[in-house]
Amino acid sequence: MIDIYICEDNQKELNLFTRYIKDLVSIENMDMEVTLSSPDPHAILQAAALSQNVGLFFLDIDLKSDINGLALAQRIRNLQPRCFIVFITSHSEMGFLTFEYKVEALDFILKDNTNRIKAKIHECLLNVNDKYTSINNNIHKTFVINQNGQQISIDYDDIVYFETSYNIHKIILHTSRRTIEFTGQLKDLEQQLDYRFYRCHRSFIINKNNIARIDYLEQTVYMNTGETVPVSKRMKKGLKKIMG
Amino acid sequence: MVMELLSNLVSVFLYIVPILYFLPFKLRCFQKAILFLLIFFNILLIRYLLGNTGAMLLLFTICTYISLVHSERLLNICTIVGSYLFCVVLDNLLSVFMQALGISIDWIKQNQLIYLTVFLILINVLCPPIAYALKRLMKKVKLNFPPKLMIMILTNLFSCLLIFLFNIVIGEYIGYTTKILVFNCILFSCYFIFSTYMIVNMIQAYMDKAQMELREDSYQKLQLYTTQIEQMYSSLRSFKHDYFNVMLSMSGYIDAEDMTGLKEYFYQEIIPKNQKLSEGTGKFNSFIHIKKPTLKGLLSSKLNYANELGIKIELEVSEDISDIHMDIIDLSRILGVFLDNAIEGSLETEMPLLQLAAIKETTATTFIISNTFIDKHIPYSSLRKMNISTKGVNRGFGLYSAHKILANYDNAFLDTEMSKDRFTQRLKITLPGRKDIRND
Repeated sequence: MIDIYICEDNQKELNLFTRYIKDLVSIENMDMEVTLSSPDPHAILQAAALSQNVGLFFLDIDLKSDINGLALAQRIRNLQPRCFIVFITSHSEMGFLTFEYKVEALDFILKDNTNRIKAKIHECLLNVNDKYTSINNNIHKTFVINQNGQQISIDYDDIVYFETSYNIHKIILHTSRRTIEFTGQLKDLEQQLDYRFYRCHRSFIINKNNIARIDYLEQTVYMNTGETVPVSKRMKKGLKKIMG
Repeated sequence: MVMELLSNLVSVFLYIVPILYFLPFKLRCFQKAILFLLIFFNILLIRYLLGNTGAMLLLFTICTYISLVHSERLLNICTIVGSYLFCVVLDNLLSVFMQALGISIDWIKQNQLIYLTVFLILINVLCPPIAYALKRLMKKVKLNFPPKLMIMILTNLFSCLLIFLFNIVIGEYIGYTTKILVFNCILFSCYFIFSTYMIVNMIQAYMDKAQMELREDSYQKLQLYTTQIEQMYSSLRSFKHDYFNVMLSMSGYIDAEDMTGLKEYFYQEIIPKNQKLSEGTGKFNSFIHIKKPTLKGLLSSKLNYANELGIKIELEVSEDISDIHMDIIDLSRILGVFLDNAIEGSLETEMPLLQLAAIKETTATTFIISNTFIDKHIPYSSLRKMNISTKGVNRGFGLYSAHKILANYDNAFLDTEMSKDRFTQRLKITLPGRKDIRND
C-alpha cells in the first residue's frame, strides 16, 4: 500500500489534484490511497513520520509557509529515504535537474493546462506503481552514498561492481546504467556489503549475482553488462569457492 | 673482499634510489627486488668484466625491464636515462667538491665505501624535493605535450648520454688519464645542465603560448556573450517603446468607451507581441549567476550554438557560482567535452533537448548536463576509453581526455547515468582536502 500526500496552498488546486488522483487510482485499481491533502507542510511531515507505508508526495514548490517545497522535500526524504516525490509548480524556470539532484525527485508537473496536468499525474502514478511492485517482490537492500549533502540510494541487486579509480580514495560504483564516483576505501566497503559481493582483485569488488561467466585461465570475470573485471591470482581460489 | 661486495651493493642503491624516486609510478615490492638484482648483476659485469662499456648494458637492461612493467614506455625510458645522467653528474660534482676540500682522488679510490655512502646520503636528500618538483611539473604539462617537443627532449637526452658514454668508454680505451676523463665529464655535465635549462625555458614558453591561446578563445566567447546582451537590451528598449504606444492607443479606446475597437486592438496587436517577447530572452538570463568569465563564455557559447542547431535548451542556475575548486581551464575543457557530447547525442533524437544546471551547496558545486539520446547499449566504461566513439572511427578523444583531467583532482566526482531516453553527467566539485562524510 502506498500512501499519497498532496501539499498545495491554493485550495481550489488542492481539491482539483486530489480529485484527479483519487479518480486515477480507482480507475487503474492501484494499491494506493490518498492519506492526506493539506495546504500545511507541517501536517504532511507529521503524517509522513507516523506512517508505516512508503509515501508518494505531490508537493507544490511555492508554499506560502515558513518552509518551501524544496526544504519540505528534503525533510520528507530524511524521514522516508525510499519515498517518491513529485513536484508541482507554476514556474517553468525552477530547474528539474536541481530538484532531482537535491532530493531524488521523481518528476515535475507544470501547472500550465489541466489536460496536461492530468496526463502527467497519470504517468507518475503508473511509474510509481511499477517501481513499487518490483521493489516489493524482494526485500531489497540498498547501498546509500551520503556525500556533501546529497544522498543516492542504489539497490544491491543493481550494483555490478565497485572499482578504485586512479585516485587512491575514490571508488566508482557501476550499475548497468550508471557510474558514480565517491570517496571511500574498498576495505571499508567489504565490511559493509553482504555475501553476494566478493573482492576478486585489489581494485575490484564484484556482485556475483551479476556475473555472466568467469574465465579462470584468463583470470577475467565477464559481467552481465559486457564489461570485464580482472581477478588476481590470490583471489582466484576464493572466487571458485564462492561460485560453487 | 667484503669491502668490495659492500661497495658494489651500495652502488646498486645509488642507481636504484633515483630511479624509484623519479619514475612516475610506484613499483611493487617484487618488482623492486628484480630491479635490484638486475642492477647488481650489471654492476658486477661492469666491475669485473666489461668495464665502462657495461654502462650501456646496464641502461639497456633497466629500460627493457621497466618497459615490460609499465606501458608509458617513452616517458619511463626518458626518466631512467635522466636518472642515470643525474647520477653521473652528481658523482662528478661530488668528487670535484671533495678534491676542492683537499681530498685527493687516490684517497677516494682507496676509501670507495665511504665515498659511496656519502654519495648515497646525498642522493637520498636531493631526490625527494627534485622528484616532487618534477611530478608537479609533469602534472601541469602532461596533456599539453605535443609529440614534437617530446622528441626534441628525448633527442637531447640521448645525445647527451651518448657523449657521456662515449667519453667514458672510449676515453678509457684510448688512454685518457683519469684527470682528463673527469674534466670531460664536468664539461659535459655543464652542457647537460645548460641544455636542460634551455629545455625548461622552452617548455615554459610553450605553456605560456598555450595559455594565451586559451585566453584569446575565452575572450572571444565572452565577446559573443556581450553581443547577445546588447541585442537583448535593444529589443528591450524597442519593447518599452512599443509599450508606451500601446498604452496610449488603449487609453484612447477606453476614453471613447469603444469596447469593440478595444477588443479588436487587443487581440490583433497585443497578443502576438506578447508571444514574441516570451521566447528567447528569458533563458540566457541565468548566466548572470556564473561569476567566472571564462566559464560564462564557454557555457553561453555552447548553449547558443545548441540553440541555433534547433536543440531545446533548459538552463538552471539560481545561485551565484563563484568559487570553484578546480582550475577553471580544466573545468572549461571538461564541461566543453560533455556539452559537445550532449549536443551531438541529442541531435540524433526527434526532440533534441539539452538541460544544464549549476548548483551551489555549502560544501560543493555541481554541474549537471543532461540530454535526450538514443541508447546504443554501450556501457559507459568502454565509452570513456580512447578511440571508442558512437560516431565512428578516429573519434572519441573527448571523454578520454576529460577523464584524464579529472583523474588529477581528488575533489572532483563524476556521476554518469543513462536512463532509457536521457543521458546525464553530474560533476561534483567539493572543497579540496576534505575526506568527506563516509557511507552508511
